[in-house]
Amino acid sequence: MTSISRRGFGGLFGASALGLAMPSLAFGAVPKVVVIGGGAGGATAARYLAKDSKGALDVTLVEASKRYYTCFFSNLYIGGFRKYGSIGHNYYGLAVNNRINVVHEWASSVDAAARSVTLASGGKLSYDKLVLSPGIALKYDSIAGYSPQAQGRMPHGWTSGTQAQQIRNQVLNMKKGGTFVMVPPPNPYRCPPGPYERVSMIAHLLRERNSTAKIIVLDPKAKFSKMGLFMAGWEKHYPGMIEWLGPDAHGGIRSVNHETMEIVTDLDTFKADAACVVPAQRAGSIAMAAGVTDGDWAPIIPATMASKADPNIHVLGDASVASSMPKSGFSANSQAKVAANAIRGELTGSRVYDPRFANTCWSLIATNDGVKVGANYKAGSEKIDVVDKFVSQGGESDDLRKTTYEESIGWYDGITSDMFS
Amino acid sequence: MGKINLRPHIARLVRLRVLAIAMMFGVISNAVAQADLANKIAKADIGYGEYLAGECVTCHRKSGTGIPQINGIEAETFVTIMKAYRSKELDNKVMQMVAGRLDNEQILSLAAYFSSLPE
Repeated sequence: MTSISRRGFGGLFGASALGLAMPSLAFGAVPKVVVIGGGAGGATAARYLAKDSKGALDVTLVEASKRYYTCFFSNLYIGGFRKYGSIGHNYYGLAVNNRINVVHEWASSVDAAARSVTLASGGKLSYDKLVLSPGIALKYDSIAGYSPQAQGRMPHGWTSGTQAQQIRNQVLNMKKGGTFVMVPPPNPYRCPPGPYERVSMIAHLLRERNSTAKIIVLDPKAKFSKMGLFMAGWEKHYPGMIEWLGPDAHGGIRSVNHETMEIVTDLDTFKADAACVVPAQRAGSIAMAAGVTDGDWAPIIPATMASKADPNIHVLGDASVASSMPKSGFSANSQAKVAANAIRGELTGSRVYDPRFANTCWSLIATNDGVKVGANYKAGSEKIDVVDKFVSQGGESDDLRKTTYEESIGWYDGITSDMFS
Repeated sequence: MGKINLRPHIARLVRLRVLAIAMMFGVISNAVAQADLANKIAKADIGYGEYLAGECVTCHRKSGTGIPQINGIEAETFVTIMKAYRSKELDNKVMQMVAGRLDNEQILSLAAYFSSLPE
């Protein structure tokens, strides 16, 4: 039983030491946890907090959308491998099966001193612990000429939903032999392999319907996630169709114009028939409003995902500075379980186990050609540190690539069930 | 003539007896190992297993394609499979990585948890 002391560090002193600090604990009321953001981080955190505390916590989830479209697999929708409806999910399971109070509103501000969240409607929610999982906000002004107005004709498609529909529609309606221009975002951003999987899916659509069309990738980065695997896949499945230009080749992206559909770089101006422009990113606005960000993102304490600025606020997923963990749905889901375990321990005195993190990102290059990259992590004192990692190799058999793709379908079913069931 | 050469028969008999004894020990040691494993699983920390399972259920669900269902799996089978991934005898990069950082006690806790679930 020596293992108890190793893992049970939070539980023993939790209730007594925090009883004074937590108003609802002092009066014997059920402690309140408010979770803002119903994506991979927030939905998972709310579900684990409610499921595992079995009524010992009062959990409220604030999410504006009644139907949530996952960013992961939105590329497969663009490529025609998934129906749009299959990437949409509702909050019925969280509300009914897990008895979470689901509030479909925008959270507009956080009063950290009063431990209170104000909703866009003016309503207020008080909390003992607040979980922020707001995902990203787009820095429209990171590219001159780009704006919420411009995203209608130059969709970013980085928040799924209608933006992903817009991209698919534009690809399907491109003129014969036309040019699609993809502008990936600079680091750090949500879903590192995402822009390149998107290029693959657009190429897949074009090869079937518009085989003389071209795709130009104007990348602000000199290298990217799974670069060798994507490059080899493009050469194999879409020879001559995709031209990737790094900063050495274009000199830097200067501006875009959604009316003329031009993308201006230092060395050349590119005219697009359809385009996807993904600007730089930062933590979702509520993280800024809560005062937990330092620059664009929110620093956290690795063992608990608590904000370094406020011990009663935990920040998950894309909005957090999770060091070597990529900004992915899988990462957010993994971080949510660590945070839920720590919060529950602190508020209810339940056992707190060793924090463990994991991530795997699958990407589809072409029909049955799936690749993956992943790692597992531990909580260091300052950073989340890599324990072990892997990546698919070049020259793998067709069978293995097909198995990898099928595995990604299983993962999608798994993670969405883990978030919403 | 008339005298039967027993030597090959004796040799065969000896070989068979050695084999029989070996098999007997094999069966016994196997049974002992199984009883020992069942005992260890019974003593495993199922609550810890439930926590660790958080990492598994991001991918494994009750039903689905591409990734096997592990709810209600036989505990001994679970332990054998996880150890085979850990030693890289079974070939899947994600599973080799997952199993790679699980110690025996953690595998037993997970086995106790998943085998306790309905299929």
